[in-house]
Amino acid sequence: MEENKDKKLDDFVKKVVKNIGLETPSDHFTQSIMSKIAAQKENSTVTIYKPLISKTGWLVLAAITLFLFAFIIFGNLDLNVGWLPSIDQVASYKIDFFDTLKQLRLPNTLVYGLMGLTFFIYVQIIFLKKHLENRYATN
Amino acid sequence: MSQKPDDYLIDKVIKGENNAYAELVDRYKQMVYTLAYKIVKNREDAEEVAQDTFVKAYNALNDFKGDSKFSTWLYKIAYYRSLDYLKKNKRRVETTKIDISEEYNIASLDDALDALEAKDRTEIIKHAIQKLPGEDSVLITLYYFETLSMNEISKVMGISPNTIKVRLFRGRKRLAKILENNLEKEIIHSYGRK
Repeated sequence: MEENKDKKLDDFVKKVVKNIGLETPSDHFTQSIMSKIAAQKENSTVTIYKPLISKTGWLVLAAITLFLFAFIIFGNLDLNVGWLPSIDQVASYKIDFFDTLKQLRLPNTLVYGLMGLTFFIYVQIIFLKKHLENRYATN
Repeated sequence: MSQKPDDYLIDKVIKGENNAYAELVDRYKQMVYTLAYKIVKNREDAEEVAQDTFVKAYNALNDFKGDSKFSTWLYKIAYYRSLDYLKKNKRRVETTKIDISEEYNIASLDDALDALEAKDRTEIIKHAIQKLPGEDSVLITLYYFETLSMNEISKVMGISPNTIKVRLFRGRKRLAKILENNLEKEIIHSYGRK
């Protein structure tokens, strides 16, 4: 009985829903979608990602660096520039400096604290970067 | 007009022929618009959501794998876009709270509807469907108008076929009740005019 009633209702709703059909959007519906898509294409070419230093730029920079190093190492360079302090003088300062550093003793707690802090700063960089990137993301 | 299959048109769009997409839009705009309208219950908003749906579908067309029908995939986007739209605008849509345990009489309901003029009849039915909660209304449209299978509806709305069955059962009862109430009002109203 109850099932029969539901079947009747089922047929009734089918008839009713078929009867009313669908809603129709405005006349310029398709047109405005197509123009939105076209506009979107134009936009994406304007804001296309372009690296500050192009690939060729990097190649040139690398070549220059390599050349300089090669020149320093293999080049016939006269380093005896008269006004430079002699190597011994510079070295003695340095050794003094490193000796005092060696004597420096920090409490373990401070060292662990500093290590933790450094670690979290690096982690934070990742999150901040993501956050800032999301700010400009559309949708 | 010969109907080219969806896949053929989709291939063309991916190859860069935008005109083919216009054809797809024309083919599905009514259904997508109707679904959006059922949920946001406002013509301007529905138009916006429907347009959004097609733009989004266009952008995601490369990801469309073809393991479901294009229409099902499109309806799913439309359904979720509409829900998102409601959420974003924090709008609560007014729907009726009908107790579905109430009794109704289909035979007299059918007769009463038949007695009305076609235009009035459509108007009353549309109004009643509009009063249903958005999801029920979408469900009824997909099932009775689009005649999608339970499995396809389940893909679109992300609920299990069993839940769909239960909700359809409740939805059509609710619809009958709303119709009955509205018809009573209409009949009283038209008597008053005479």
